[in-house]
Amino acid sequence: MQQPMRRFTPFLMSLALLLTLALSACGSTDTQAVNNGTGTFTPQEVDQATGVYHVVPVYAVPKHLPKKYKLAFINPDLSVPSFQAWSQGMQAAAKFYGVTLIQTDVQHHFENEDSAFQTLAVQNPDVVGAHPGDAALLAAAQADGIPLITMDNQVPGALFFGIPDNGFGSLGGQALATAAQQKLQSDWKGRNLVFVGLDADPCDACNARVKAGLAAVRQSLSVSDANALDVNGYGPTDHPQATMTDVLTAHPNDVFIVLPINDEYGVGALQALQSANRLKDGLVVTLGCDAAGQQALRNADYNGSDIGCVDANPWAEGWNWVEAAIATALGHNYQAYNVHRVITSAQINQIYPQG
Amino acid sequence: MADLLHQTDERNSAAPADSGRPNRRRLWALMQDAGKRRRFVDLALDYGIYVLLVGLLLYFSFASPYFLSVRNLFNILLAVSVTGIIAAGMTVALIAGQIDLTVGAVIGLTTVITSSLVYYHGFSFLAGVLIALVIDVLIGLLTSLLVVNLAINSIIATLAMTLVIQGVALILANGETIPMVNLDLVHFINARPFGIPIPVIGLLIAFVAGFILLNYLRLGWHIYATGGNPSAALRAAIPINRIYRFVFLLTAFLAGIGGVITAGMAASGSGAYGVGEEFDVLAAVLLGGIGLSGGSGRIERTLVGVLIVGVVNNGLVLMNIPSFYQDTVKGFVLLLAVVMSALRYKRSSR
Repeated sequence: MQQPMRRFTPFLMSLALLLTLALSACGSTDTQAVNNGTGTFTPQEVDQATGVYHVVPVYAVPKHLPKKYKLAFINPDLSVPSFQAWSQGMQAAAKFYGVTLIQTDVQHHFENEDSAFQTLAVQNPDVVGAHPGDAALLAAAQADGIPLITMDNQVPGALFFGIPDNGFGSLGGQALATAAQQKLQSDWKGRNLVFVGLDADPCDACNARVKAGLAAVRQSLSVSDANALDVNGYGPTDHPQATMTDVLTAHPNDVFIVLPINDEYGVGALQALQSANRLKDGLVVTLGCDAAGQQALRNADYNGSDIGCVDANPWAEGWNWVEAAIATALGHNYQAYNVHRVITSAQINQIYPQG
Repeated sequence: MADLLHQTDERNSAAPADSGRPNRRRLWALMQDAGKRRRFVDLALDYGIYVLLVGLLLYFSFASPYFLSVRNLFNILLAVSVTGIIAAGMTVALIAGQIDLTVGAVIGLTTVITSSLVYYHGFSFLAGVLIALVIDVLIGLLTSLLVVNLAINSIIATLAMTLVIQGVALILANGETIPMVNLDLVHFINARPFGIPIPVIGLLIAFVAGFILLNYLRLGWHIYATGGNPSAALRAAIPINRIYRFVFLLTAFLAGIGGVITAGMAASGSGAYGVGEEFDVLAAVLLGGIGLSGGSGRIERTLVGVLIVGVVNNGLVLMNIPSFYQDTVKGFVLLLAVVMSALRYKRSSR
């Protein structure tokens, strides 16, 4: 009785292949020009379109584009709030400017970036972006003649957009140092100060932030090597919380300034301090100001411990990346992304209204 | 049985229509229909995975105009090459009744050893690769010592080894990503002799070799026997301990090959590479209907399972479906295949 199926299976597969080969001849490419008017989009128009994010353009996108550009982005991990915010900003910008955005997510498996690029490249994008990117990805993009713009990580030979990790960490370190100096002259007088870098391994960008933060702190405060901890909190919020708890246990009488690699790690540190009833012994600055960082600033329990978040505004960064990509497709230059402010609990609801 | 029924039918046909006795002719017709239905279900369960693959190819061809290009089809094969090579070894291990969860960690360690020997010590890429593979085989040997000599369950032993290997990889790399400064390996892995990428050639070699091993060599038959019933295999003078050692050496070696390919494709080494790969490999193997109990399974079905995973991943990206939905879809596809496999096993054991 297997004979009918034996005869049938090859026939079915052949028919399927023939059909799909025929269908493959039918494809659509959108090469029509995009016409949103004359001139370029003004900063006021962009500000109005971006609502609470108040995006400052890095390139004045023309309202008339010669074609509907296709931009591709390899997202590092959409389950991370900052990266999800990038994606949302990019999608909003693509819709606003009339370009197509295609994405993929490597879910923190950076060794698959090249493979992810190949999947996107069959759709013939005009520009591709990635974080962190690497030499292999650059070589693959160059082989296809597609410009690569890396986000928040500089790859030699590739275009760059975003926040230099050194500057990000440095701004956080400066904020910590200023707050700690005041504390050391009052509540913390006579106590041993420990710097805690809540890091993630292996993550070159993360390491750079922590090192830059420590360097910035050391410009104002004396922190010995023995009191400069670089600890691995790799994972979701409960992992850095567990790491910070171990640090607190090992330093029962010390005070801490904590520089985490992002908001989630900072929240983990605050939760550890709270659980140990030692919020008064710690100062934390978070990096990013995404949802987790904003909520921490609104949490009255953390007043006096959470000194603020270094505002990366990832949604705006995503929007700006699209502008940078359009500029690149048109053969123009774009401005650098500017991270310049630390948002405090007093400012958070004005800058990012809740809801 | 049929003759008996036929005779009974002849006797019954002479009986009056309203005699109240059962109509044997009708009963026989009903039984034939039920038999046909049973045979159709059996065939559907046996060949369903192939039909599923063809169905997915058709679907994505409709859904995306880019899916069925030559480049994209090679992309699918390239994307699943590492998983597929390791899955070939895992199939052999599962048929033998064992499992090796160290494969993902071995990938990371291999990339670190290869790239650090080149970057820090100036080794050629060939020397770096050979040394890494020797270390991988030694890891397989150590795993086999734990399972065979100390009789530790392979899931527990390899889970523990995974943590050790990952830690060693991170220590060796100092938590960093080591760039591949000598690009010979990168060029080799990215080469396309006769238009076929090297990793895809590796994938084909792994499955052809596995097919020959399991179907034409005495060792393959011994592997089936050992997995099916180790006591009976032992009584039949099959060296089951040697079989177990062989499968762990094989899985470690193939994971090392996967690590070499990963190092070449990423042009770097990192302890984070390959994390979780063991679950992708298991998903593909289970999708192919290889049972966890051992003693049965066909390696060509694993290849189909690997391709299904690759096709689904690729097709969903081309359709611009967010990655969260991709995981759910993959889970459903795996669930469907596992249910079909369970039903097939249940029916065959009646």
